Amino acid sequence: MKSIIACLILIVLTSLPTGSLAWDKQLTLMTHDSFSISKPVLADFEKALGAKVVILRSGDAGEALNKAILSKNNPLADIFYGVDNTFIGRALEEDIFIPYAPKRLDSVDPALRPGSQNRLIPVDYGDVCLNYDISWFKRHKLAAPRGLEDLLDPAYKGLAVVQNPATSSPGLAFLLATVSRFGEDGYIEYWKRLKANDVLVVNGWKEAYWGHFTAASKGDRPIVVSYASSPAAEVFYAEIKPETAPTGVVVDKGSAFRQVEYAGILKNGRQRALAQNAMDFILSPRFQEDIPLQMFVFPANGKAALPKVFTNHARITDTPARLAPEAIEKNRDRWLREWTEAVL
Amino acid sequence: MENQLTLNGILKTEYDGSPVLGPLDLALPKGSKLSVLGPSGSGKTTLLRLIAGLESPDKGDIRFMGKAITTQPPHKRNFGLMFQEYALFPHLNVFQNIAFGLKMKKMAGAAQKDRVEEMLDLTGLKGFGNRGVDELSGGERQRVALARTLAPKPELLMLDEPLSALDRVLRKRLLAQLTDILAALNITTIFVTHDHEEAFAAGSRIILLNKGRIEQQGSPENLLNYPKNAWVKNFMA
Amino acid sequence: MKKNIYTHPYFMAGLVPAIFFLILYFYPLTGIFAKSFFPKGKLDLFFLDQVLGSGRMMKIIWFTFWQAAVSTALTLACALPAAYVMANYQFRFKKTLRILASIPFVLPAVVVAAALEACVGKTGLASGWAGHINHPLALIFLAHVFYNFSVMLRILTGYWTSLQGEIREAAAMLGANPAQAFFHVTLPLLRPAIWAGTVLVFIFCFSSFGIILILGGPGYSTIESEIYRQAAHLFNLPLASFLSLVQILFTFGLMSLYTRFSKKAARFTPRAGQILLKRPHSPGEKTIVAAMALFIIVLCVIPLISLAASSLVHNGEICLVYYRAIFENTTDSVFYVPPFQAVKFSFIFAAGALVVALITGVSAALFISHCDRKIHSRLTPFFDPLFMLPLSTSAVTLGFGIIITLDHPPLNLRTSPILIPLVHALVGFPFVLRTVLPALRSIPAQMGEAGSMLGAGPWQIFRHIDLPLMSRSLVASAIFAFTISLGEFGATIFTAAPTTPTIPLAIYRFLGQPGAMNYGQAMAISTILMVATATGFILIEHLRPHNSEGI
Repeated sequence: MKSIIACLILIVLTSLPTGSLAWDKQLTLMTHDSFSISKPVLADFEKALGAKVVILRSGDAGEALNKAILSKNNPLADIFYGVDNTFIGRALEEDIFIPYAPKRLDSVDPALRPGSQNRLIPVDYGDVCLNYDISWFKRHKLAAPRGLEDLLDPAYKGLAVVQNPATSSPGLAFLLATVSRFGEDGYIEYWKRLKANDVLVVNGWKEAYWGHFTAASKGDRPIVVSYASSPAAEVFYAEIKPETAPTGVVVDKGSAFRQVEYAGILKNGRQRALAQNAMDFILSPRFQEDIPLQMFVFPANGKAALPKVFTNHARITDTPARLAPEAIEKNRDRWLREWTEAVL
Repeated sequence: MENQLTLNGILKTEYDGSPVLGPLDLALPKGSKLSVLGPSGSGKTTLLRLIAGLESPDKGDIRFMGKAITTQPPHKRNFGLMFQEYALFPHLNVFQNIAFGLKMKKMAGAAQKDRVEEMLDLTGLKGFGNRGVDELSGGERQRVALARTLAPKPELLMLDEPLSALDRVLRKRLLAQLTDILAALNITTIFVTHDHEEAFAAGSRIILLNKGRIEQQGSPENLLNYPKNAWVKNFMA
Repeated sequence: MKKNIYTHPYFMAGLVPAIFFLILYFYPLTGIFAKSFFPKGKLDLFFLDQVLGSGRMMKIIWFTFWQAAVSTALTLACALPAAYVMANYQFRFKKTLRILASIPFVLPAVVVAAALEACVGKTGLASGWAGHINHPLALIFLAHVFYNFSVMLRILTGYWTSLQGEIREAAAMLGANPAQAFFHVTLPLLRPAIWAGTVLVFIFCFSSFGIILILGGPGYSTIESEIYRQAAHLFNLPLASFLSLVQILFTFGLMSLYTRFSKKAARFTPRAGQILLKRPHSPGEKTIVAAMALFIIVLCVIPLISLAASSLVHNGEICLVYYRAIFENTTDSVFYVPPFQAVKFSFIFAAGALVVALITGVSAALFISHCDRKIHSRLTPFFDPLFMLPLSTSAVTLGFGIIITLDHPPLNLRTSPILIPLVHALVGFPFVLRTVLPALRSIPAQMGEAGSMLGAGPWQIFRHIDLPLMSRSLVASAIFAFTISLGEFGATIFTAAPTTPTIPLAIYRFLGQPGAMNYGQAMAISTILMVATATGFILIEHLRPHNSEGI
């Protein structure tokens, strides 16, 4: 018995990662689960910094931010990537970032900048909107939806799947789109009628898109809340590249919500200089041009080149639904409560 | 029918076919006191369990008052069995333990009370009714077990090594009490033990078992003075 | 003399679990509670309005209770007849059945959900001819029964077996037919065990997290999953901590009940001996035994087989492609951690958790049994349920607490890889305690006294008397702690670092990606996990003494 215990202790001690790093410095980047970066770009990242880059994926956007806020006195990372405009109020209020203006900041469309004394820098953006399966609608001889109101039509009963705004950031963005469209007094009515029209609510984007959307799974819902750039992803990942995208998007008349993602240097982080270099790299064309095919959103750096599949198939709207960040911050919790009481 | 209990050609084997008990025959007249004597492993307990109905014989039949009871379940036989480790019900107190058999017979509450008091008196446990089973000493438990077995007036009484769980001094004292009680009752009794002193005190007829077969049977004097073979002689010494 | 009681090493042994608990449990919890209730230095109870005023919150609390009650009732209904058969009859494959029924308990919620999906889901094995189960509530109940069946079965069978033999025969001799014997003798003696099992399973269902989250969807929420939502997503810490505190207090009360019942049940157990059970003879008996075996197979084994089957079928034919894929990085993703690394880390962590859980568990058992015997204050029955708390505390709360408290030296455990085995040990420790304590309690006090009369000091008594007499239960509990660590999911999500994933996390990650390849690999790893736990339980079965109490 004693020998068994001794053996076990030995195994534990000798197997712990001793981490002989190629680099002797390390930068930790905290982000959400949807973050992605290709290997060559990561290698360039590390080379540019002269340090190892560790990526800490910490749940969905809201969850990750909350963890960062919780640990603000002793942060888990050096920079945070992925605060989106629905949470930016909370991030700034909790004061967990320090200002820094990276190089190439002027290449970023001023409309995207939040005016936060450069504590948060825009890094990518996309439009959250309804996607629909083109061939499904053709087969069922139904007209594809054109606007948010169409979902209330009895002809579209039981066809839509959306995400819970409390647990999913596209879900929240979609909720805000309805608030913007129908106003604070009217949006609940919209959702009540949507519920009566048999909408399915699931917890996350992955579950909705890869679990229930007819174009991407064996599910039975041809309408899903996703990104305006998702059709480009469908083309990109198809085995035989189609001419036109198999899915369409509903972006007119303010039915899409502009989601902007920001990154910033965490206060009390230990690698200040490295973090600043990292922010520079994040806005550089090398990183920005990698974003479309990794995360399927648009790069904030206006000068970054877009891949062909994006220019052909990804949509971005000129008239997104908008809400002021202060309004979002003030009312988000209340809207979530009202929505939950009405729909769940 | 003169004999109250008869066993004919009883055989009980292990799973591999080796015999545990038998083949043997036995006949008991009503009111007789039989002692079954033998070393451990000789099949004495098996014999009791077969008569009680807790196990079934592989061959042979058992008759009681002329009626075949070989396949009758134990709870219908109205035989009393006092277990070696007493098997008192831990969740019931002394009174409830003794009254259990009466309850199963659906005796009225007042009648139950009377009978239980009678049994407590008989075994010298007056006033013990409210005690919990775990508060009793070894000797007290043995007496409660006896009272419980006797209370429902069984037609046949079996005692499986009733004194073996007690120390020597207690054993001697309780043997005397036990034999007094049994002598006063007119029930057919089978007393199983490995101690020949006890066997002689408790029974007027002895059966000596060895490896499942009856080596010799008869009166105590018979076994002592006329052992059939060397084994019997050694055992009795 | 009194002084000796408190300086006795067994009493001192209590310091080990006390320190362990203090650092890994109370400190983080106090941290998160302080942060929640005193956000800016003074007590702020505004969230009470939110709880009491919200119809939805009341509905959630109500739902938590009634789903736990229904799940427990269903489990009892399934386990009672099964326990009857297991306790009364000896038959071929009995040990195998017991092992198979035990596996679900240590599987992570993701795997259970996947197994049920593979079995009764839309594309499951049963869907072809038996239809499929879609309704979240039905799935939740099914999952709970699947999980907890073996717990209830073990508790009931353990006590029921020891009630065999003479007591039942005595009742028969006194004229009780089988039904009367059951109602007047067996059932009253079994009742404390039934209550113990019911309370324990209720606690498990009450604080069930992964199952509700994955199978319930957003429409069904319990206190536990609401804590997660409020804390992790809505960042409403005060509300989350309040719910967490309520949950802890409530389950502490239930745990006290549980420990009281199991003690009561143990008291009635006659001396442990070799109890020989009979084989079924009559056709009636044989039918009952066969029916029970079939039921256990359908309930526990078929989902597991569906799981294993789906890991072996690719494009309609049987092959090992998923297993081979485990060793390759097919997507060339930067986040790819080879699954076999997850397996390696899981085993390492489990080994570490085993050691820590064993040391703390044994120390706690020594402490409690010593207090039982020598110190009769009202406080001593307090420690037993206290040590059981980690079983039902919200993993989110603990995880968050760890984030904010264990972040500076000397307790800078937050980023250290030893945090995971420590957290796993925290979860496994109650099981070690429950397995070792009865074994320790069954050692008569006179043994130690005899030893000291012969010149043995306390340490020698422990080494040469108590320890060898406990050795079987020690090994059994070690294996238990090991398998629990392998399948731990809830607490691991919050504390694991990306460089040291575990098997459940790898499964979760694979299931989060689309495509048959990812699904297949998730199934393959799950099957590996199942086989590992099955092996563990086979070993436990060979070591388990008969008539042992508890889980």
